[in-house]
Amino acid sequence: MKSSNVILILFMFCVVFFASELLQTKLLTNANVVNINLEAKLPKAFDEWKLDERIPVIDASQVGGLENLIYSQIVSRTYYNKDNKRVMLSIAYGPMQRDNMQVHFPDVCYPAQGFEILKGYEYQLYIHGQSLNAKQLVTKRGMRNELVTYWVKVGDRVVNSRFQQKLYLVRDGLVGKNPDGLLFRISTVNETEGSQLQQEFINELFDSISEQTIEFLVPGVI
Amino acid sequence: MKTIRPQVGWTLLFLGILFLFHPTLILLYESTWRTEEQGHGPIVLVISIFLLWQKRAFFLNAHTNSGNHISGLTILVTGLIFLFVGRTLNIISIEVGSLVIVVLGIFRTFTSKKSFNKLLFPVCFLFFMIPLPGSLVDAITMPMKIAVSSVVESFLYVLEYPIARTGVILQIGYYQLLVADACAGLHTVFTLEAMGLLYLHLIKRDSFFRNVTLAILIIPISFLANVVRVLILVLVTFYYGDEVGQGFIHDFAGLVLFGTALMFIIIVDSSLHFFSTKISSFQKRYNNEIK
Repeated sequence: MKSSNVILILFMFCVVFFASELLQTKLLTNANVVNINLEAKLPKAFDEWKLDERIPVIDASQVGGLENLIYSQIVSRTYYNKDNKRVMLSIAYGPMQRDNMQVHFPDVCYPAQGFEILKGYEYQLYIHGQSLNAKQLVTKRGMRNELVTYWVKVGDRVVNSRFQQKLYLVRDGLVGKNPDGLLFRISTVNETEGSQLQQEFINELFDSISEQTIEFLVPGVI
Repeated sequence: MKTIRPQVGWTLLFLGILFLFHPTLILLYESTWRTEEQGHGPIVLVISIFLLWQKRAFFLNAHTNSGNHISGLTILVTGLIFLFVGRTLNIISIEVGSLVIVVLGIFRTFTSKKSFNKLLFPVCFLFFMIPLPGSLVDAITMPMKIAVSSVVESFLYVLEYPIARTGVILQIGYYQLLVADACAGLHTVFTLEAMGLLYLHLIKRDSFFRNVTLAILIIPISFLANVVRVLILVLVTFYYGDEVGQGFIHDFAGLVLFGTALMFIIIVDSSLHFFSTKISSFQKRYNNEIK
């Protein structure tokens, strides 16, 4: 065995290792450290809404069964108001959106639970008077219609398609950032398109949480 | 030009690879290998290392100067570029994939063409360790889940069980079952393909035709095995209740899947063997009759 070849190879190994390691440390130090305990920050009752402890919500983490890996936080709740209207709220948060650990879009996890997506379109939500480009899905499973509205944040931006999500992740990767990710999703059962119920729920919810939490949920809205 | 003993050289190279890839292995250990779908990763790694060790005669004592340095180093550098890209862009599939290329490059550099061919299988087997990209998995898993559940539904319907299906949710009697990703995923096909190829490698069938046919047939076989698994799960739930069914998922379902798949593979392989010997003996007789 020629020692020069072995040495050359080992030398190349070292170069690649330290070069990538140097960039890696940069990535890790850039990782988002702001992490808010959502379970504590989101009120169990606000305005005329109360928490319903009994009803389970479609689990955002179900796809792939990665619940404990991808998301460091998952909040699933159902609220009801005095008219007995119900809104399901689901938030999934992952501090580091590494490959294979990205926030799943409802476009994926609803079909996985047997729902059919009848329609999907961009939907204007208003948060503190600011408009937000969210997405809305009309889904159906058997007799149950579910109207789903959601947005996804990657780092300090809101995205509304998986393509955009990937694009921002690659872009951040190139400049050495490793952004966090969050899915905010509300849904209502047997509610027709263009219903104001979800917007009212959002208004009242966001009026009752701190600015810091709002910034965490919807970056750049305040 | 100085030379060193192959044993020393290979040890150094092995340590070098370990050093270069230890962040990858740690990452896999901390994330990917903990998931149900990619749990086969460490097994693949161990099998590869074991097979390489069994074939150590082909690189440890053989003529280590007979390799092709130029093509070997070219492969190696390609692998290193992949590693760099994968690691800095956080794309673990590329990072793990580069391991295979780097190891191939090293063997090409130091071993003769003949030995290299012997080492090809154990190294390429490592491909099954690569975590599949999420988008690909999502794209293929859903249609497969629907197909598996609809086959199970039609089969049980014909047998007059009270079964209905909406999407990937099966309703049997009072129970509702969700065909989860793990029940029909791309990963099971992937794992079974790995197992099938390993089987072929160990059995050492010499017929190329039979190997290729079987490698392709493994895809429908794993689909069938998934159907059998879901079928058993549905029936267990129907007869013994939800709790027994859920317990069954965790304890035996995986075992049933691999047992069924292995059985199918052996049956198909044996029948392929049977037919090809039949054909060749028939040809012989035919030739004799002509004479």
